[in-house]
Amino acid sequence: MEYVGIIVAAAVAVAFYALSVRSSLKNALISGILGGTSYGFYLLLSNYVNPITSVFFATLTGCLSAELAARWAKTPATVFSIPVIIPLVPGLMLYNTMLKFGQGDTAGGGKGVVDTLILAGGMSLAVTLATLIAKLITAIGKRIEQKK
Amino acid sequence: MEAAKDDCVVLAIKLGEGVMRAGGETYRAEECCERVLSACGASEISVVAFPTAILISADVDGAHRTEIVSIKHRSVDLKKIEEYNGISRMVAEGKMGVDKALAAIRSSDKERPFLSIAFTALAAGFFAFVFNGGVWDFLPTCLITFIATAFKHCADRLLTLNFLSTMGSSMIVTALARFTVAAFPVCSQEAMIVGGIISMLPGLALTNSLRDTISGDFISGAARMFEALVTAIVLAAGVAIVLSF
Repeated sequence: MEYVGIIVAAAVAVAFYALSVRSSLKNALISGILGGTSYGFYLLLSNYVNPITSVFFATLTGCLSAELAARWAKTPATVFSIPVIIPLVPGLMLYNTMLKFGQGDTAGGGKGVVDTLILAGGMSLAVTLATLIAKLITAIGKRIEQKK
Repeated sequence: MEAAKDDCVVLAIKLGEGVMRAGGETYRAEECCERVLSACGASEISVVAFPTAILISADVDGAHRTEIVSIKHRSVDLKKIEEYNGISRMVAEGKMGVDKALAAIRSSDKERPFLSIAFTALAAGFFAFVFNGGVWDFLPTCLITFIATAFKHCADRLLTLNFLSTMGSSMIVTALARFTVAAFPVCSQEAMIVGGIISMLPGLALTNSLRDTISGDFISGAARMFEALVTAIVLAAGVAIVLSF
């Protein structure tokens, strides 16, 4: 229940971000719903698993739902996947890392850089996996249609 | 008919260039060009797109045509990616003629910077709330991001080096956040800075670099990955420089 406000804020933020990169109102609303849901999924998972695993699965869910929404709306997947992953980008981690460097804590900052890179790597892997799954499903669907 | 075939090549390269300029994936830009050229009956079609240029080579009515366009400026415009992708599909399906498609590209509405900056500022306000901020962080974050994004927009027009404007705007966000916290200690510096810089983080470059790599466009993938890395470094450096004072 404590997460509801944050999830709604994430959804609204994603919708405004989508509008800022000239998405249509309909697509911005869809992006907002998907972005809020995947961020909620991240918050839920982060109670049970480490941040890297939760970001990985939240990004995977977000990108897969973006691929599905793109097929439904007959629009390129990028239109949804770019705004959807924005709240999951490790901005807070990057800030804390830079704060440590600014305070002269080089060891802490170095660890932060490694953590941020690993998290970004996890996100990249999830984006890659989602695209591959979507491509695979599309290819199988086309084959089935051809056989018919 | 000859003029129409020539227009076809022009349309193909304009669509490809538009998709690349709007931040679309390399394979999408190439597909848009190939679709249009195939619909016009061209053969021996070869399209190569990079983040900085697009090249088309095709045999149209027995004559060989080659077109190259250099791409100097890139931005993020999801509407244009959708529009241009749709135009190429309609031309391929015969639902839209080449002339109409060219007219549609010409009449495609231009970017409205003020709206874009205002939406970015509003998004930042809500992101501040997501990243441990309170309701009192909303307005300062919106204002700070509005100023920083407006600066970035103006600097991008004046400078060819986008990285400098990114670094400058992250410095502005951090400096203004520190001033705000000094004046109103109830505000959260962390939430304001993260909210302000998150929309500048290279999410698009990262996503597209991976999509390009998966599609076999290794040069574009590597170039965009490098762009994402440098953008993240300059953003972080901008924050670190101001925080160190």
